[in-house]
Amino acid sequence: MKKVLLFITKPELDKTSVEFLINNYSSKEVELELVTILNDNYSYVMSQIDKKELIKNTMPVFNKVCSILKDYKINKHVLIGANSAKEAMYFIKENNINDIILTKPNKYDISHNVFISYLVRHSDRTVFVLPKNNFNNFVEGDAEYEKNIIAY
Amino acid sequence: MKKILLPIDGTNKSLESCKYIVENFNTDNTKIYVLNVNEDFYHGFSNTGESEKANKNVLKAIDNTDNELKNFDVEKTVVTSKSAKEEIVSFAFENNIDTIVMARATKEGIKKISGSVSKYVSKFAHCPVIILP
Repeated sequence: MKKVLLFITKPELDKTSVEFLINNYSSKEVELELVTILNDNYSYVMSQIDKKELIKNTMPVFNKVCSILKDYKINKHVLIGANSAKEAMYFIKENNINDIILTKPNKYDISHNVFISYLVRHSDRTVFVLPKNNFNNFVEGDAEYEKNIIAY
Repeated sequence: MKKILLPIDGTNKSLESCKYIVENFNTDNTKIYVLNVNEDFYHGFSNTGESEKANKNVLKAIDNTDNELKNFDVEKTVVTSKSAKEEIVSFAFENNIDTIVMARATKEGIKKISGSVSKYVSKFAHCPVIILP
């Protein structure tokens, strides 16, 4: 079974990634790893309580994505680290990920652009880099899933 | 009809992208654009014919894609330009390409870690980019 990594970042970017995933991977073929990375530049200062709160805040987003991808086998992960790109790389290596799906933000979102550039350059897996909501010609979507995605 | 852009530089690594296309795309509704960009750093100043020689070598490599992609509708283009990465992005935009399939880094040794072309293309292309390891 293929392992596909989907980064949960921002709703407008997640929608594109989720739509792409539904249209290109069958739920029987893949195991999904949903990952969000929380930047903690002062990791040695952050208390356990702060970390718990941060994780709590991400749960509604995870649940929304999981409700759309209810047919898929999903594992959820919250990573906390000073360098999100490096955390992602460690995760990819440790979990034997096959494919990585990423959606590009607009050009002014510098930190996310740096993150994508790092993964493209350093990961030895197949990476799908998608432009935001711009691949309608690429795949024909399932109407029911599209409704769900619009709702999300 | 899906339009797939396959940028190649003649190396074995770049030709491996053909296998990915064969395995993952349907032959009936896919058109493949094979693009080679011959980087001419002194574009406009050089008359030595070096670029023509390089083109001939790459054309041989492009012919090798024929066997792999024999069931697809293939269009081959060879371009000389100052910058391969900019040429790939503009070619994709001008031809309304739906997906770009390319290898992460085609160079050997220390240059293997660079992957600057794939990084640039993934950042600036208007369409989905599939970067193969």
